[in-house]
Amino acid sequence: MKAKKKWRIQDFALYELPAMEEYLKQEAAKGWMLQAVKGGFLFVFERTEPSEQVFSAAVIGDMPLLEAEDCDKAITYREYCERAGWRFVCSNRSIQIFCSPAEEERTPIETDEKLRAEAVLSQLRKSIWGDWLSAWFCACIFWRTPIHYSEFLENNISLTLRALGLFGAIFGLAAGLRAFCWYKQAKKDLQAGKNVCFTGVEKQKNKEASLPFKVINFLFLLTAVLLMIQFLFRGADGVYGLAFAFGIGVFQVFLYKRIRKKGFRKLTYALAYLAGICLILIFAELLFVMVHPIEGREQEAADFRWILTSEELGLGPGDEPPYGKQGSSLLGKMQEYESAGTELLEGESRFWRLEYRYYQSRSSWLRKRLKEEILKPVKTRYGGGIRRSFRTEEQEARNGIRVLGIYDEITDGDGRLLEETFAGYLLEGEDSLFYFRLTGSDAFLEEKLLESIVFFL
Amino acid sequence: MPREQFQNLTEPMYYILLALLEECCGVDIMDLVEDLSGGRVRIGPGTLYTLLARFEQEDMIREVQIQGRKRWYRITEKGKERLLEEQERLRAQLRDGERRLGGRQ
Repeated sequence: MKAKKKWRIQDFALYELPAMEEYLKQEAAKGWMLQAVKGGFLFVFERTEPSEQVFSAAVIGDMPLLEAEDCDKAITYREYCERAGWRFVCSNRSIQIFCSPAEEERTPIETDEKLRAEAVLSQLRKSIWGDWLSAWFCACIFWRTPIHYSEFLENNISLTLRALGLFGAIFGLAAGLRAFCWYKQAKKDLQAGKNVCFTGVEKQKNKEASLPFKVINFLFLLTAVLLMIQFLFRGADGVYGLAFAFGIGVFQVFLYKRIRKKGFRKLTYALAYLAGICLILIFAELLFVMVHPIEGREQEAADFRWILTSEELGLGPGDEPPYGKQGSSLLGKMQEYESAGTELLEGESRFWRLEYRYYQSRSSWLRKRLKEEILKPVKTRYGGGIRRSFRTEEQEARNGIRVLGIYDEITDGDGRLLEETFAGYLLEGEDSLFYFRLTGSDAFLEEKLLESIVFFL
Repeated sequence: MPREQFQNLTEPMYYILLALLEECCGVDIMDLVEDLSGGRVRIGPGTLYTLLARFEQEDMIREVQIQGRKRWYRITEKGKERLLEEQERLRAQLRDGERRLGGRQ
């Protein structure tokens, strides 16, 4: 049984209208008539009898970018075209698509090439900004992912997300650049009274067949699919993340469709957008609490295979199960551990706390960033000019492992040292970093811990 | 620039203004122009739509009636002046052409 509908992903720019017309004509000849275009790139075809059709993709100039698809302007425009014998098929953003049987001679919708070019240029100017904005947004994802560099070692999600941001930025930038170059040339040609050259089907096919285009497209789709798979395999965490992203995505699509239908009313949609985001965040918080009961997380951490534990050091079990995280990715592996407890020593109760962070990666760039993160306090400036910083002091290397002592310094506005406390050790192996801090214990235990870590590294 | 664009009228522009010397519905202008030009000039609906909007913006035509989505237009005094200027320009062109070419026929 032959399929009644098919979907094709096609991305035609405003300067590729002849290519779009030819593509639709070829599909109609094969028995597939365009029914709708969704999201600007998903072409929906329905099965019909093969027929020779002429398609015309027309752009209404000076239309606001977020004007309603069925606004007065668009409907009036369609009526003019239908009066001339053209059948309205659908609209694709600012493009109105019409068709007419080839054997019926029709006056073309645009008989003035200069006016046609001016309409396309007026809309293209706006869409170029859209391309740059998408590229900038993707670049932000690339630049700001992850928030902590240790996430690169926890799983592959941050790496995939960063890759997605990078490919998205390249894609958006390339699209914006191509459109901008065509725009400049077309404007020049118009001013010189020459015919503006739109991209025909051959040139458009060449673009799609070009290796860089295929590679970037493939990489972008691959990273998007990998990201989704990783989320699914993360268990409750992943499902929550996926559901949250899906919720945001559905809301955005709903709002966009509403705007396309009704037009853009700034204040209404700004308020609706804010309200929607607030509701999603509240719902996400509730969902997060449901999938992450606190006891559950601690129990999970207690079952981790820790590199070192407080029991191994002779401190005994902590007052509560240790907590932290561990993970591995393509870039390496990591483990962060924290445990605290009280020890009875010579009739005296003594509080101790052990924390360490272990990062292993062959990437020297990542190790450098992780080291910077370890050596930077969360907050560096306090009121009255008070500053906090970490100072390192080289200690004697052990078995080729570099050992740095870290000191937490607090200085006043004039740079005078107010307080200094020992903040732990940082050990640098060939491809690893190990930071640890043991408080409330004696020097013997600290030395024992240092030896254990050197042996481990 | 709007003033520059209507300095010399193209054929479609000229015939649209000619058609609107009498009140006419926007969608009927295409057929009327074809009649006036004896089938020689055909205006696409998209081009017509754009030109009507620009003429209206330049105050060369005005809307006189609206029925639902149908709009009727008529040329304004400014539009008539422009039309007459264009006619004069075309006559001058024709005279110059006949003077130059007339002896060579």
